[in-house]
Amino acid sequence: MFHVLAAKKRILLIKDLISANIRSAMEYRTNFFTEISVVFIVDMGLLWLWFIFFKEFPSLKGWIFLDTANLLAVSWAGFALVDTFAVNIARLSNLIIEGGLDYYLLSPQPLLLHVTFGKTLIKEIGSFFSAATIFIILGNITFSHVCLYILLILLSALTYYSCLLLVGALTLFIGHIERVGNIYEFMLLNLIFYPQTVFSGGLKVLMYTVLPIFFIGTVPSQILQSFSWYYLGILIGFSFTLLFIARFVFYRGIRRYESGNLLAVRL
Amino acid sequence: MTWSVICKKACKYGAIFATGYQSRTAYIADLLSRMPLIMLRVWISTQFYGVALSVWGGARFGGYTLQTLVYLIIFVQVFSWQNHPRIAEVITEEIQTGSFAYTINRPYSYIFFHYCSYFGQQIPAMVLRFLSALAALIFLVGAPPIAPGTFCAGLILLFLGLSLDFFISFSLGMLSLWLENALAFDTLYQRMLLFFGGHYIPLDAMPYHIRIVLECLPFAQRGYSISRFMMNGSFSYFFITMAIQITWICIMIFVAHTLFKKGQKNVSCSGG
Repeated sequence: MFHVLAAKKRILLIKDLISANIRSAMEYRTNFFTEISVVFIVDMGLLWLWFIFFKEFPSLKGWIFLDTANLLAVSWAGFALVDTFAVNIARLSNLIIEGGLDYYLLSPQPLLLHVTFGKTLIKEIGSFFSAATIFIILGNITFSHVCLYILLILLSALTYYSCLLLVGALTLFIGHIERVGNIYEFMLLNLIFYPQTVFSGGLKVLMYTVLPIFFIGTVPSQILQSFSWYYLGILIGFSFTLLFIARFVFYRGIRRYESGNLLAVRL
Repeated sequence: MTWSVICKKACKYGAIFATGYQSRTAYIADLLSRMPLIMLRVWISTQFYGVALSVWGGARFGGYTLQTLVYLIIFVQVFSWQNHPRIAEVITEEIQTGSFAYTINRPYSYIFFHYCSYFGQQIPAMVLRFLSALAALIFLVGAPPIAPGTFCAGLILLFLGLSLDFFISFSLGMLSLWLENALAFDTLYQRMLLFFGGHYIPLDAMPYHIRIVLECLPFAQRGYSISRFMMNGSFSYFFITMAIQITWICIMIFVAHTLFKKGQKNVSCSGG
């Protein structure tokens, strides 16, 4: 009973934080719609470029345009969810170095949850619409397939989130690694476009481990194309294990956190 | 204008350039931290285009061998890499904080001040990126297939490409005087540079008509056209690229100057 109440409280907190942030973004409506439209148009432009590319190179070691479209349909949506609703996680290193966690530590809300949903960057949701559009264009809109798509987006987002949390939390142990955190995020966002079948050797190992693009994009997109309980199990296992490790490192590191004497006004 | 005035002005803007340079090189660890990223990109491009060429069924694609194709793509990425803060971000911040009203009254040209500062900040970052990419390229695909003369001529195009980037970014920043947040347009410009500037996919892989259109747009002028010239060494292509760049620069100087003049009036009306 206690767990149900706690979970309900947390869901309400997430809802309140997100709605407050969206209301704040909607204050500038023109800006809001311009930014979303811009991201959407450019994303669709990139998809078109890949379409043209695959006309020249129809198959790269078995990887075809449909694989890229599915990959973008899942990974863009996953990235968009994290980059929109969990902005603080992407800049966790900066937040720690600048002493920005003080405010969250003093709040009675669960720390990680509050930090995660504390800030919203609404323009990135444009990528979510691009991803959803690709999914619709690809067809196969059945109830079960849509449910599977949503589940895969959440798992992709969870893996991406856990990676960022883990790298950000390492700041608590190592110190000034803000730039490493930014580069890491940039790598994840930029390397996702490449067909994973073309990589081999050390690069492939890198994409399975340090930069788990394989689990953020490739596995979910392959499950979306041909469902497999086996791969779904592996994906769920990997996502939650990574989340558990990242959460553990964050709470371990938070004991070492030192305030940055930051003076800020929060309205 | 006498020589002494010209010399004084050159010293003034030279000092602004030097300040920008020093501010970028002050945090050398920050600069060095980007080296692994460009090296990783070289590694990825080598594997990706190696497979693509084997699929294509020949040792060449659009006249490029694997070596020249990887050099082409990596040079595009080195030349068109976005440094932060971008000029549009700096100007937007100046406008939002009100310091714009102060700086436009200083005894220097506002546009030229940012132009010199932009180059001062770009050059050290670009040189370091270039050297780290070159080391990885030599290790993975061999020595550069570029004649020294072609490379030097390419530097002229690079200078023009950077100038064009500056004036576009500056104009986008000036829009903050009218729009709530003009940075959305700068984001659009940056993404278009990445997607339509040959950053991921060489424009030579596009159908002929699309390639021609994309090569005439400003997005290709920051990196792709320069890199393509360095690879093929054709001086007719050099002059075509230069003509396109100069045309765009003239258009963007006019736009930037007009926005600045009109923006100044806006500031004096609102009191900064």
